Amino acid sequence: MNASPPLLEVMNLRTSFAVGQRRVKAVRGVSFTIGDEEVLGLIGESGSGKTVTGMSLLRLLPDHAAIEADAIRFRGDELTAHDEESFRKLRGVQLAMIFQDPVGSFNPAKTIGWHLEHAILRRSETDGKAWRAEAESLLQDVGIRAPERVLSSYPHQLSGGMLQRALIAMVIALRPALIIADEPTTNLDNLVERQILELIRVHQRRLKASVLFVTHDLAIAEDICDRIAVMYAGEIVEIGPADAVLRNPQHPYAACLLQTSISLAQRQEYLFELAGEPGGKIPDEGCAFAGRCPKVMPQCRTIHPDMRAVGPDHQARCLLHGD
Amino acid sequence: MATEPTALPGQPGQTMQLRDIVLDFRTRSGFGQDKVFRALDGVSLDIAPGQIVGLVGESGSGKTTLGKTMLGVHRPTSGAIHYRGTDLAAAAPSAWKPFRRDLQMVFQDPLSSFNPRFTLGSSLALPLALHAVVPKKQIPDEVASLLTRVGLTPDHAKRYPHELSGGQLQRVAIARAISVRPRFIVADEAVSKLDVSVRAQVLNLLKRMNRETGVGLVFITHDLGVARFLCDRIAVMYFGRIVEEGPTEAIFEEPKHPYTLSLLRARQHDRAPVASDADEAGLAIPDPAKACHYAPRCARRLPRCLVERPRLGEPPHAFACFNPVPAAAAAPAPAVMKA
Repeated sequence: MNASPPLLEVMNLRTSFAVGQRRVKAVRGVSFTIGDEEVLGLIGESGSGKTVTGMSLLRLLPDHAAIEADAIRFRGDELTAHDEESFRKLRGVQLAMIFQDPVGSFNPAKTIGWHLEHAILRRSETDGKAWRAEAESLLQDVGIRAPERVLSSYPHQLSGGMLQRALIAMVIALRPALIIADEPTTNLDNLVERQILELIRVHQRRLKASVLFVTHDLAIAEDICDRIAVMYAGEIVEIGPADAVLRNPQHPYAACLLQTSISLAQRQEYLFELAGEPGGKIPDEGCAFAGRCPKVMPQCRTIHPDMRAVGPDHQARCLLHGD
Repeated sequence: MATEPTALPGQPGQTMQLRDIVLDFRTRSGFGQDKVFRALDGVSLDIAPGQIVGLVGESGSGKTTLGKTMLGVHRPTSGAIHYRGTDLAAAAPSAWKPFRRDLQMVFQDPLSSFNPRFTLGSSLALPLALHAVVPKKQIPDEVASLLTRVGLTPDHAKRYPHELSGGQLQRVAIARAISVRPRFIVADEAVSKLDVSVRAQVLNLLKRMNRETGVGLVFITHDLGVARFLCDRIAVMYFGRIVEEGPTEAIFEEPKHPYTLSLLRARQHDRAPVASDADEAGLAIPDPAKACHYAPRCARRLPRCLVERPRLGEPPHAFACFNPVPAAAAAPAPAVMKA
């Protein structure tokens, strides 16, 4: 075992939402660790709980959400023990987030300069006036060639790609230890997407930061992640080194996702189809994927599988793999 | 396809022939003169019956505008749309009427393309009644059979849009489009909002409908992988123009235009640097009359490209470039493609 604790350790995270009289369980016992300078990909379809997992870690969910966990340790520090006031000092400084929609991350009535000023002063090493020079150099770092003009622009005056760059500049101004990036390129065009991914990769290394990268896109995950966790119905169903999960997936759901993208690459007459849709009702017992699984066995309907080792640092939640 | 606008279509059949379509949008800028934004700039394209033609490009490239122009939503500023012996571009809106049934559309967001207060059955029945596709008495049966054909059950007719998932609703949207037995369907990013596993189902459905009914499809997408799976031909658009057009295999195996190549490379997550568009907000399109409009971002730019605009060459594989990509430059496809 390591002498020093991992950067982030999440044990049995459970998040549910009150909907009328019921509670809807969005995250059902998620556990993972992120090491120093590691990029962990959280892959899943809509409703798999990948976004709620990221938001739960940063306590960014509305009041009707209940977040429980056996432990969420950041550098050994138990985050669940922090009250709202002391957590706020961590969030946005040690723990930063990049959202899918950069427009929503900016105040539409304020300039980009205003946002960067606040981000830089938040870190409070810079005095009142020096922020501007630092802001310009940050914008240059993210590939913006006319920083003065961008600083005085309002969010609606910039394209999606430019805004996402400005947001990354804000995040690196904070020098966080952990960045949660939730589908940061989904709304962008292919060429811009690649540039933004490259930026995240470069600055992650430069800052020696770790990243929890939430995405539905296997190709992006392959490109940027060291390890990958595949989520289905609020659970991690497979986790392991990116290469192992993508080349040799052990959970039928992960295998099906991969098969779908491979049949796109090989130009077949018809694509591999996984029956059903994600986001249906989760059965009370048994495996949540049993209803769609091509390899379903009778016992899958009654036994809820736990995570089993399927390779070095590689686990899957499936009865096909011995105890 | 540098056909002169005056040239009459040689084939009077059912191929839709777009010739030198120009579409300007005027935006008011307070006082003084209106600004003109040229959304389509001399687009020529043939869409043969039964074919699946992909329009690919980044946002703002004009692919959606082109699709809407084919359906008469936008009226071109100049150019011609030859279809079944009529020039639709010149025709008054009332003259489109006989062709409406031929031309259908599937949108990106299925939820906003249905009336939330109608059951899906009534949404499906309406076009059947309007176009008198089947006798009135048979409409319920026809609705049931349409739902079955797209992989749903007749029972779904009683449901409301919000009761269905995005994938199911997109199936209903496809059922509605095929219900009037059109010749062409324009599908605008019809799978981009769907989950990976559901996307495969809907793509298969679109292909099956094309194979079974012979309906032509104009498939608008930014996703080259999806276009490669579905399309017979692909037209790559950049800032209102088609820069390359040809059979799908040719576009992927032997891309000629540098822009096509950079799109392909972006998909393959090639580590080679792409021309930066970091300053895109300040990037002015050069004088459209003189230069190649891709020249500012182009890695293969020649001096000539700044003073002369290349024309789109001849089919079957047409490209608008003075310095096309040599055949060897195309990289092999990776194992995992963007899904």
